[in-house]
Amino acid sequence: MLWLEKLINGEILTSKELTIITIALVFFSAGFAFIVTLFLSRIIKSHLQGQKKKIKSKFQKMLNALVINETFSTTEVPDSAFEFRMGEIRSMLGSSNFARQVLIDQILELKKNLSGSAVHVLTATYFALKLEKQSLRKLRRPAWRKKALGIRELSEMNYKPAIPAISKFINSSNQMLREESVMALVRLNTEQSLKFLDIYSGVITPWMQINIHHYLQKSDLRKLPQFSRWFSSNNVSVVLFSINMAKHFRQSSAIAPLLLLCHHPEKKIAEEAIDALGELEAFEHRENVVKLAPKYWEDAGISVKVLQCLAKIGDPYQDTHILLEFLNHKSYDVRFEAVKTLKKLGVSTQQLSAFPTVKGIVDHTTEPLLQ
Amino acid sequence: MEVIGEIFYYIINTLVFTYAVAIAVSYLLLAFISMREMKMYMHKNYFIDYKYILSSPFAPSISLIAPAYNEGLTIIDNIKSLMSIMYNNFEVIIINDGSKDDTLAKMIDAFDLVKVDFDLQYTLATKPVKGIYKSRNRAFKKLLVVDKENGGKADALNVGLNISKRELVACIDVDCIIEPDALLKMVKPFLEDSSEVIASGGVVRIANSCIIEDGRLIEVRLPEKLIARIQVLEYIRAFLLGRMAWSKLNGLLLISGAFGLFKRNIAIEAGGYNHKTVGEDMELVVRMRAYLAEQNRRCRVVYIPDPLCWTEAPSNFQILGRQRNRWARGTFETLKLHKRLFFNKKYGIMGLLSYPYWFFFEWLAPFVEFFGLLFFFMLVLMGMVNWTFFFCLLIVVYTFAFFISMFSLLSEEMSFYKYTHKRDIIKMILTALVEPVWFHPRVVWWSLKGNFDLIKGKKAWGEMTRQGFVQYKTKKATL
Repeated sequence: MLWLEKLINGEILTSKELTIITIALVFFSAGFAFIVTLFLSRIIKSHLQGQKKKIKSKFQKMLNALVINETFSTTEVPDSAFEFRMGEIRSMLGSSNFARQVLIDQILELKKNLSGSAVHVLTATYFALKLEKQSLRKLRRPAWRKKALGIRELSEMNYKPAIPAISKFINSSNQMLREESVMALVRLNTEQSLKFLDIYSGVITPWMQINIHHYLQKSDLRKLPQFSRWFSSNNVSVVLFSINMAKHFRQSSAIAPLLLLCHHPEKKIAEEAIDALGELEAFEHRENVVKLAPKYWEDAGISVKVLQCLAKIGDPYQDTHILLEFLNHKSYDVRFEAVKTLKKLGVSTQQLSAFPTVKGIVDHTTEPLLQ
Repeated sequence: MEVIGEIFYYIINTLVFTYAVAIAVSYLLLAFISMREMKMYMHKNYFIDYKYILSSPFAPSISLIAPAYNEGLTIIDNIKSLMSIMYNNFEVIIINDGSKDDTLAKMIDAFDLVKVDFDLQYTLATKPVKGIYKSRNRAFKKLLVVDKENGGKADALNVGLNISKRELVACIDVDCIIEPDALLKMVKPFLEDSSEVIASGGVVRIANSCIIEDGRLIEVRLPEKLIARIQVLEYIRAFLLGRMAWSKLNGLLLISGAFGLFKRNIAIEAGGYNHKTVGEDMELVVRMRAYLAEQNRRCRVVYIPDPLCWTEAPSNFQILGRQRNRWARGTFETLKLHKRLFFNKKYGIMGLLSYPYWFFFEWLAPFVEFFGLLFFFMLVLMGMVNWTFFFCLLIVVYTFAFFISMFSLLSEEMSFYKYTHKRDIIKMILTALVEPVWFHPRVVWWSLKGNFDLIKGKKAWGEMTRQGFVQYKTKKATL
């Protein structure tokens, strides 16, 4: 015990040793603090989850009653009944932001899985309880994820008055915020869903393309804009996106401007434009595509696209001679595509087998299980 | 003579001390960066609906390449599990790497396979392919089986790269359990930045004691055996605290061979997997990055912190020793092959930070520890040890190890929260207390042995006997 007393009084340890022990104590305390935090986090998590579950089950009953009443009622549900329910929910919400957020999440979740009049009831509930104010307040919060969450809620609930506020984030430096606002504008601005492309300076990533396409597919296809109007954009990603959309939504009006893009200095744009011409079945412009073959002979990537395009719009009588030249191309991928194209245009396996450079490819493309 | 001894003593002491401080500071920095990045990832993830990828015509096409060697016992379940992965535009390429058992026969029988006239190009040089098989059953149209002469994992993966015509290739270990949404999550970085991202990798977790049914992970459980539990801790530390930070710094050099997604054309342009090294996974990533840096092309290797792949960890010291021996050899071979990167600013962060880190703190660390220990014993014999100072240092090193382990556990708790029982956490805390004295010295020894084996010319992988996941299914059935 004398040793311990000396140790405590600093008589055993030198100043260096004391410093080291202090560092060790810091590490140990921090490690111990992590353990405490870990257990506390579990307790808080389970408490919050329990609370959320409790509130959710209460709201669920209310929302179920509202939705079922609306869906199965043979007569029109009187406004007073709806207002009565709203009054109940309002009293449950009180001034709790936590409860409000739980309800918003719950409405959004239910809305995803329902359709028709049930969705109208949920939307009406959201607005009757003025929950859009809570969502709009999030747009003013400094944290990007709060802003993004607000944007998500407002767009899910189709709150069009929020368009100007959301538009402010269109060129935000935060990628997530930028993407969320783009997605929201596509959904909310139904009349001019892609107007943002006029001013968009960022890159339209494939991820954004997937999301926008998802929403556009659900929208009224007759109201879609002519994507060719962005073919002259200075933003390469906007041009690529527009070509892809024109191709996917089969806008034949884009064919003429696409012909110009086939000569674009940006290789990727030229590639996509040629591909789109094939997809849009631009038979009347077949000759223009054929003329591209010698121009892009050295570029295997574009040559493959030219061949794929001609497989769809090529003429079996007039184009075979030029396609046969591709059988001696230095790139294997081009030779492979040439064989496929020629077969599609009706050239027989026997004829193709006469070319020693593509013997294996002919066998491969003839194999039914590899198609 | 005494003065020279004193100078020697001073120099060694200072060097070891500086080294220890540097390694501790680097761990702290990496942990801090990881924590921030993890938080960011979790926030971002909240807004992502991966199902959009599933239904989109714009999702990139993927080939899953899985080499198989003597996997007859589990191959059918494994393939079925791979075939049921959630992704639309993908194919599964199984490479039978000259198995001596009935792996191929079982596949032919189970999937009604027939040989096809596939025009295979040996863009990457590999051992000869004996046959390529496709199923006559349309239900398995996404499956392609290749039978080839034995050439090792790297060689088999290169055959897969030669065969695939798709944009991305996922190279996986056939005996791993892949989460159903793994590809959706792995492909996301390529969609966010299609021009720069060349590879992505996910977290590999330990599946020992977990409940597995039909190649699917049903319930996550902490391993019953201490040796496997320590590896859980090690993996959490390495993946959540290490790789996350390197990914943020764009200095990630390693994507686990168990599950990685690559841009096929870049992997081929860079020369594919190197079959002369046992660390082919790390070597490929380093080579792809170096290849692009030499062409002044920007690139990124991204790490996904979600637990996407579950593997069985060695459950005895003999097999674990072989695995660590191989890792040590693989690390040194890769570092040696790419020594031009060392503090070379041409290679950016990889040359200035990642490579030196791997060299000093991954490869050199076991040597420093071992020779430090020898030096210490020498001092003991010479009676030159200040015991109080020694114990103080020992305590600080031990508490630091404990601190880092607790930090990684907290990181896991705040993010993926896979071990939900309270007793699991208590077990993990106890494991962290035991690990530095019971496990770490062995890891140091295996690493040293690996390096010496490499000098002796050892090239073999070392047999990795696995108990297999089937046992859990059986165990559950008997309960």
